[in-house]
Amino acid sequence: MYYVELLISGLASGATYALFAVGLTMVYGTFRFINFAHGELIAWGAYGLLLFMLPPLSLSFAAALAPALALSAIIALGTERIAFRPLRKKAAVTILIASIGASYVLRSALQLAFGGDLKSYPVAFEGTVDLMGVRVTHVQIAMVAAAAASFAALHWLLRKTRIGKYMRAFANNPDLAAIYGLPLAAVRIAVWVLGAGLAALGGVLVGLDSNLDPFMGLSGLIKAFAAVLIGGPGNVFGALIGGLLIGTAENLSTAVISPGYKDFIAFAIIFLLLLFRPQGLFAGRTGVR
Amino acid sequence: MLEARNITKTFGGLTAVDDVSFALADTPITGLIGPNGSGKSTLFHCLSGFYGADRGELSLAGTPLTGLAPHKISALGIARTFQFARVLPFMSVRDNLLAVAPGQSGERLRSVFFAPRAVRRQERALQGQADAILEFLRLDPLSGTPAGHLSYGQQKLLEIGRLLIARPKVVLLDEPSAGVNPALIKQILKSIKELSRQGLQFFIIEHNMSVISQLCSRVLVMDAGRLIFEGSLAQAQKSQRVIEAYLGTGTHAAYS
Amino acid sequence: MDYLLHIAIMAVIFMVFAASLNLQLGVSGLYNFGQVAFFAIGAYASAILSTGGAPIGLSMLAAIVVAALAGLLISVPLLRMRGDYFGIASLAFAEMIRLLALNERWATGGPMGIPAIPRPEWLGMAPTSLVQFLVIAAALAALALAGLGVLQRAPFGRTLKLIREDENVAMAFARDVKAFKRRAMCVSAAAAGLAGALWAHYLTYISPNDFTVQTTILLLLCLVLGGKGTIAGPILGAGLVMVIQEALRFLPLAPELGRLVAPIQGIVFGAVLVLLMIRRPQGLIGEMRE
Repeated sequence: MYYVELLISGLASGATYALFAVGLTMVYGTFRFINFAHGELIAWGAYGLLLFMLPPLSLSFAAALAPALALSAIIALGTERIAFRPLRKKAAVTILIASIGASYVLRSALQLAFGGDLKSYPVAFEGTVDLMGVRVTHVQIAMVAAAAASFAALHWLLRKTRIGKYMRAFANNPDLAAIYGLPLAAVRIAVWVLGAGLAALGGVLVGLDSNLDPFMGLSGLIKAFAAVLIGGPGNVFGALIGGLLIGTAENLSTAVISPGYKDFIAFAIIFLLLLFRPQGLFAGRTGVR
Repeated sequence: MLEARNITKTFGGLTAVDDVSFALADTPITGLIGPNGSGKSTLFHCLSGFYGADRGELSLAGTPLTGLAPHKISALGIARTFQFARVLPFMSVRDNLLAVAPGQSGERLRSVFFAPRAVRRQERALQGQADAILEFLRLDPLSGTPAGHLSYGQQKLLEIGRLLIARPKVVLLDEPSAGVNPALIKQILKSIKELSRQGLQFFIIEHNMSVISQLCSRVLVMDAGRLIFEGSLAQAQKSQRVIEAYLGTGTHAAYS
Repeated sequence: MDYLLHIAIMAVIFMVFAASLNLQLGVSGLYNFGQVAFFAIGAYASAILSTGGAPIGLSMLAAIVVAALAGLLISVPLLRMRGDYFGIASLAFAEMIRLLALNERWATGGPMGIPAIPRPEWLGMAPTSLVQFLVIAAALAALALAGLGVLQRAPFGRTLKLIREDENVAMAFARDVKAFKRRAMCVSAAAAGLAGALWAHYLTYISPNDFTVQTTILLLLCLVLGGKGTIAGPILGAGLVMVIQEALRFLPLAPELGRLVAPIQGIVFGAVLVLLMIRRPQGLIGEMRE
C-alpha cells in the first residue's frame, strides 16, 4: 500500500510537472530557445491567485483562478516583448542569458510584493477519498484531473483548430511557415498564453498541495526541463509522459534513498539526457536540431 | 604525396563519394572539378578528417591517415580552407595568422609560466614571419585591423596567409576564387603559384575554369560521387564523359 | 571603516571568481552556468580541512587542487555538449553539488553548514583584523588574476579564442579542440576554487545556501557587465557589482524598508543583465578595444 500511495502522489506531482513543461517545450519548439524565466510564470500564477483572494479584491478561489492565469499570461507576453523579441536573431545562449536575467527580475519582484517567507491560500482543500484502501487527497485528484483536461484540450486545439495547425506548422519549420505567410503574431500569442496559463495552473495546484514559496518557480523549472528533455524538446505530449515519469520516479525513489536527494533525480535526468539523448527518449530520428 | 584509395562516404541512402582513388603524384597543383553536388567538398571533408569515410584508405607520403581526427591529419601536414572564407572577425589580421602558427610553446600551460622567455622569443619570431607574409600578400597596411572589416576577397587572401604560416605539405583549397573580384583573384593566383614554387602541393576545388587553366597541370573530374577523369584540362574538355557530366546537370555554363 | 574593508574583500574575491568564469565563458566560449560548483568545492574543501586542523595555507592549496580535479572530471561529459545544452547541464551539475553539500552531513554539516572556519594570521595580526585579511586576499587575488591574464594574452589564450570563434578552423590547423577546452576548464575551476576558499575563510561560515543559482546569476552579471573576453572586464564588473550590492546592505534604513533592499536590487541586477544582452552584449569594455 505504501508504494501505491507513493505512486499516486508521484503521478499527481508528475501531472503538475507536465503542466509546467508545456510552455517550456512549446517555446523551445517554436522559437528555439530555452526560457529560463518560465519557472517564474509558475510562481506568479500561484501568487497571483493569492493576490486576488486577499483584500482588497477578496475574490473566491473559483473567481480568482481565471485572473491569476491571465496575470501569468500577461507577464509572459510582456517578457517576450521586452526581453526576447529584440534578441530573436541572436544566438540561443544570448537569449538564455537574457531569460536568466528576466527570471531574476520576476523572482525578485515576487519577493518584493509578497515577502520572502512561505505563504498559503486562505482556503484549504483537505479532504481525502478512499480508493480501494488507498488514501488520495482531493488536491491530488484535482492535479490529475486538471492535467488530463488540459492535455485533452491541448490535443483538440493543436489537431482540430486553425490556430493549432499554424502552431504546429511554425514548430515544424518556422522559415517555411513564415514564407507561406502564416500568422506568426497569432501563434506567438497562443504559445505564450497557453504555456503561461498552464504553468500558472500547475503553480496553483502545487500551492494548494503544499505552500507558496518564492523559489517554487525555480524548482518547478527544473522538473519541467527534465520532462521536456524526456519527451523531446518541442514535443508537447512527450512532455506529459516526461512529467509523469519524473514525478513517479522522484516519489518512488524516496522509498530507497534519502528524501533530501529527491531533487537530485531531475538534475541527474537532465544531465544524462543532455549528454546521451538530447533529442528526447522517444524521438525516433537523430539530428532534430 | 597524398594518396587516397577507395574512399566512400554515404549519407543515409545517398552515396556522396563513391569509391574514389587517386594520388597527387608530383603535380604541384591539381584541380578538382565537376558539376555542383558531385561530391567534391565531401571528398575534401574526408581527406581532412572532418568526415570519417565509410570505406577506403588515406596516406601522406606513406604515413597512414585513415580514421584520424582532423587536428591529427592537419598536424601531419595537410591544411585546408573552407568553401566560404572563415577568418576570425574579432581578431586583428596579424593575430589571425599568429593564431594558427604551428608548434607554439606558448600554447602549453607549463611553458607560459615556466619558460616565458622562450615563449616571448618564439612569439617575436612568429610576428616577424607574420609581417613578412602580410607584406607578401600586400595586406600589411591592414595588419592591425579586425579581420571582419576586410573585404571578402581580402579575407580569402588572409586565408592563404594562414596556410603560409602553418607551412603544411599539402593544401586543400575549396574554391579560392569564388566571390572574389578579378584584381584580388590575380593576387591570390600569384600567391598560390609562389607557394607552389616553394614546394607546397595544392589540391584545388574550383568552378572558375580560367583559374584552373592558369594553375593546374592536371585535373580530376568528379560526377555523382565518382572520379570520372584524370588528365590535363585540355583533355578533360574534349572528354565525352566529362562533357556529358556537365551537360547532364545543366551547369555547362561553368565552361564558358 | 570596517564596512569599506568588507566591501573591498568581497570585491577582491568576486574579481577572481568572475575572472575564472571569463576564461571559459569569455575566452573559450564555454557557457558554463555552473561555475559556482567549483567555488563551492573550493570553499568546502578548505573549510573541512582547516576546521579539521590542517594549516590554512595547506587547506587552500588543497582546495585549489580539488576544484581543478573536479573541473577536469566534469569536463569529460560537459565537453560533449554545445552551446545552451552545455550551459544547462553545467547548471544541473552545480545544483547536484549543492544537493550533495545539503545531504552529506558527515562532511558538510548539511543545511547547518560549517561554522568557525579559521581566518589566517599570517601577518602576525589578530585573526579578526580585516586589514590583514584584505592584504592576504588581495595578494592571492593579484597572483591569480595576473596568472589568468598572462594565460589569456599568451598563445594559449589566443588559441582558445580561435576555438571560440571557429572550431573547424582550429581543427584544420592542428588544434586539439577538446584538449584546449579541458585545460581551460581545469584552470578556471582552480581559480574558482581559490575564490571559494577565500570566501570561506573570510566569512568563517558557509552553508549550501551560499551556492545557489542566485550566486550564478550575480557572477554572470559581473562578467557580462564588465566585458567578457577581456582581462579588465571581470575585474571592473565584479568591483562594480560588489560595491553596489555590499554598500546597499549598510544603508541606514528602517527594518521594514531594509527588507525591500534585496528584492529591489535583484530586480535592478536582473534588468541590467537583460538590457546588456539587448543593448551591449560586449559589456562596458568591448573585446576589440583592449
